[in-house]
Amino acid sequence: MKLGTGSYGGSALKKTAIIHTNDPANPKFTLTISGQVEKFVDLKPKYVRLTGYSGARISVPVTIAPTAKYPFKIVDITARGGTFIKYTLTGGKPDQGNAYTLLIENTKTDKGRYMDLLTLTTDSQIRPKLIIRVYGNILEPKKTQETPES
Amino acid sequence: MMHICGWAILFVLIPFSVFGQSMDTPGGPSMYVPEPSFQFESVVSGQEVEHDYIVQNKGTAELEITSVKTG
Repeated sequence: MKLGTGSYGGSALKKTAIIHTNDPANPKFTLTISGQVEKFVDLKPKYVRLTGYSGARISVPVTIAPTAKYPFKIVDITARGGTFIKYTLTGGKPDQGNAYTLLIENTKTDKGRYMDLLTLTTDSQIRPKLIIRVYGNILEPKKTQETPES
Repeated sequence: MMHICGWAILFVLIPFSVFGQSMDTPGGPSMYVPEPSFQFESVVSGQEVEHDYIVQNKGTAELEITSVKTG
């Protein structure tokens, strides 16, 4: 049994698989795998939604805080598409607990949805890559109703 | 929401001696799993955990695994 632990940091993980057999005594049999998964990073939010009206400033700050046991530095950021977003990384200094803030901003000017993926490269051998998904939903501005002249 | 990626199960089917007889189901298959539960040592998030389960057939007929469902 093989399983990823990416989204289970800081919690106990337990998974089961039920096998069905032609053994009359064991037509269904449960296999279990469990254990503790340590947190590598505090990532808030884990994914980003950029939702708002076109023309407005739409941005979300993401906090990336390394845990004391597994310190790391961010050495590079790349966007898979990069067409509709821009991003700025600040922090990573000891007086800020080595935490970073990644500000992700929308650049799409017309109505529509998009999806992008930011890959953060770290200097950690344990987690050389961190992924942040970005979902954009840009809406048409609400039309203001004209009031008839009195 | 679960985010398990790459589920896969590897079974090692070990046919038990065909000369013996199953006590549970004479003439039929008899499954035996020595270690149905596995506890892995603490890992850091993002690492992949893998374990092979051994499934033995202690019966005299062929043991068929018809399906596997993960959850």
